[in-house]
Amino acid sequence: MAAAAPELVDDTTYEILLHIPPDDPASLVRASLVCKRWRQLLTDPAFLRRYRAFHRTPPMLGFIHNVDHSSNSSYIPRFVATTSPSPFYPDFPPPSIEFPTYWWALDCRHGRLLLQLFNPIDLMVWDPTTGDHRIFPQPPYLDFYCTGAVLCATRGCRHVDCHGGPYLVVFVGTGEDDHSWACVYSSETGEWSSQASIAFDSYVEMLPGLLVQDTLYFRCERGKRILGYDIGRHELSEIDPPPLGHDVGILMESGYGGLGFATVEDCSILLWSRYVGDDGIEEWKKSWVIGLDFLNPVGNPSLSWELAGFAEGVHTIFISSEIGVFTIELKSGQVKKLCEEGYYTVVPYMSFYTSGRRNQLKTEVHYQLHGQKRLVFN
Amino acid sequence: MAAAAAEATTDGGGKMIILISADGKRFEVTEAVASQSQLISNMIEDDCTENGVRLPNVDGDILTMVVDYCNMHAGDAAAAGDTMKASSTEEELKKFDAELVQALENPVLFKLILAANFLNIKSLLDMTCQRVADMMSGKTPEQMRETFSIENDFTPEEEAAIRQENAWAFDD
Repeated sequence: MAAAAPELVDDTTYEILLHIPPDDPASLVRASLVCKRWRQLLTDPAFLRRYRAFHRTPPMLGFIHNVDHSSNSSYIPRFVATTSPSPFYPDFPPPSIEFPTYWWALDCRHGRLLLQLFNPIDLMVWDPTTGDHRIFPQPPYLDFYCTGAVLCATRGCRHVDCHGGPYLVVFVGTGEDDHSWACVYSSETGEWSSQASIAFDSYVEMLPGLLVQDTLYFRCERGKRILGYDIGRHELSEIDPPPLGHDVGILMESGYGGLGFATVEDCSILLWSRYVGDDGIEEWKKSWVIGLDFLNPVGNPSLSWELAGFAEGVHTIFISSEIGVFTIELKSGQVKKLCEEGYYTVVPYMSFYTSGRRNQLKTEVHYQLHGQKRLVFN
Repeated sequence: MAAAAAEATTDGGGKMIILISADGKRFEVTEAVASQSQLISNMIEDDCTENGVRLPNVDGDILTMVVDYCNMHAGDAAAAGDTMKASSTEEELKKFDAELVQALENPVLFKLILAANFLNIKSLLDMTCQRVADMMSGKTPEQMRETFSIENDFTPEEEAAIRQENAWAFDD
């Protein structure tokens, strides 16, 4: 005797559709097939802008990990989706990349991925949601140890809607004469800035950076040192990690919105926060300990965990072991298993997936990558 | 009932307001409880609640839920002074809210959304819309149409084109 649902007036329908969780992009698409009225609403740019503003933080759609393409010709998926189903294929092919060029993900921020291309060596900034991409040369002063970071260049932007806008690429490197440098590429000028330099005898690692306020931080020498780059001032600084005998740690945002650091010790994650003490000197303070014993399968207490990455904005830590990659959402304490394989470094990809342009691109890219006709849609 | 109303008047120092549902049920609530509805809050400001507030499109059973919700949430501000009390109240509220929406199914849930929208109670509208949006997860367009009693007005060709354009979302 189920009574029929009352007909919802337009503004309540609008409210309901606005509440569809952004980490479930397929529901938005399926809802657009309910009726013409819903389709009109769900494809209306004004609604989509309101949707992104309402949810504020772009959701994590998955993560990218790097593989050594030079030594392996077999198929290895590069993208692990955290939504089901996912708008992205596991091989996650960037546009305009053809064999023998291969790529390494350096960083991802504000919906854009920074890729290091090899053979030939170049950089690419790619927005996987819109397909927008640009290939450009590395800075003219290259060293063996380099990494980079990408970020939106619009001041005061909340990064819910800055696809297609201007961006910056910050590149840092360590030279042979014990100095490190940084320079900035602007998508608007298409040029690299002059170098900022600092005496620094530690090498920078090829890992994603961490943006805290106006400073990008880069891990050096397996977490023994931290290099900071102040974007506004175009200045480098050196930061010591927390004082302990840890092996490898990762950079993260602290719970107070500043620089944080995470280390693993005795099957626990230790979280550290950088804060300014009463004497005005910056110090590290242990802020939290998360036990990982509950993740170890029965009969394998010696499983070793590694910190594999951190997702800015969603305050999520990635840990990895031989049984897979897991995320720990620090605010809710929620733990999720993402895949069965362990990865040393993950590059999380966060974006609102509210664009319908992607699939066409997906086809083109597949054709380009494999050089053969392949039916993409089943 | 009269004694309880008098007590509330002295206790909270607020006036009592009568809400009248579509089927004639009367609910006596304090101004503080009623003014969580932006609609009623505006009416209070305009001094037009003297003879009771008639709500011709809200049934008595739905209004009972709305009044329960508002009674529960009117305590928010009062408890704010005492930190301990406030935190326990917050937990109680969370539990109350979760139990309220979890227990609801169509058509009651939709009626509650319409009431929250009409009365303009933002927190209740948010909570109930979130419940429906969460329920849409994993549903096919056909199942969504059934939930919302919506007719499919696409031609088969239009439907096929949209499915093909976003094939990934329909891989069931």
